[in-house]
Amino acid sequence: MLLITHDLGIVSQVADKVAVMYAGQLVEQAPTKDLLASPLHPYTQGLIASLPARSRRGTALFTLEGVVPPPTRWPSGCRFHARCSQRLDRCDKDIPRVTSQPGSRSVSCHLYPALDGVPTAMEVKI
Amino acid sequence: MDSALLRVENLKTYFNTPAGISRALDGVSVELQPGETMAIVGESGSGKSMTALSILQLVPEPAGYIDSGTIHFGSRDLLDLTWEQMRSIRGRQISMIFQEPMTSLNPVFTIGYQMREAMLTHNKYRGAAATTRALSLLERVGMTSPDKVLRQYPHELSGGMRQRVIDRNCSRE
Repeated sequence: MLLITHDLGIVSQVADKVAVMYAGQLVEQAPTKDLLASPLHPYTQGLIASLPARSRRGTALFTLEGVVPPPTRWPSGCRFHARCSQRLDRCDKDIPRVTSQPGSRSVSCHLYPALDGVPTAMEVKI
Repeated sequence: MDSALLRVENLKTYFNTPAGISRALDGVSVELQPGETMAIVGESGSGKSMTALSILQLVPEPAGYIDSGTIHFGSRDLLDLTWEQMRSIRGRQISMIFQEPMTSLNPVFTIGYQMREAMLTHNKYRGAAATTRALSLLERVGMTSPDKVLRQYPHELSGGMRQRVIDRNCSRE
């Protein structure tokens, strides 16, 4: 089953794995448990940080500034760079590749360079 | 060896708009094993729903089109199928449950009418057999008086009840 939702609560209950999309592309894929516990991509981190949590009771919810840009004008480089809190100098110029990460995960972000000897996400079963 | 139930590779779905080409999906690859549930998350406009619509080839035409990529379902690439072949897969082998249950049911027809119509479209049951089938499906999702539900209109049901009707209407068996 493919489940398309905004609701990460439902995701945590029913999904085996999660694909995170941003601006028409996948930015991160991981087993559900791992994605919620340790998101890699700054966008995924932002999505999870903006969930209400009992431990953050009384404090304002985190918000990701801005909105998804229109699909006729995707930004250069990494499409998330303008909204990213961990932006590097190269992020508005170089398009990040999808790289495989330990634990059947993959991410598309300059913070996570390809690991030696690990096949790219296109070759690996996610 | 490839056991994937669904394998989408480098899918690109574009729209021609007055403002230029809109690259709604720009190289999406996902893989689903039998029995596995995968969630797609992201903000509005990130391409989640477009991924599902593209798999079922329900991208709004003529502005929208699948530019390139493959969608393997079992051994077949869905993009090679004719409209008729694709139609026989939708609802039988691949179902989609839309997020907003109120807009998926026609407000001017009863629940019973719409459930029988769905069964007729897919050549499963007709006449009295369709009614019996609809009753048992509603019973199975915990409707206490299914015979009453069949005579009701969508606005007479709660959101959760509507969602369960859609769920049953999409059920493949």
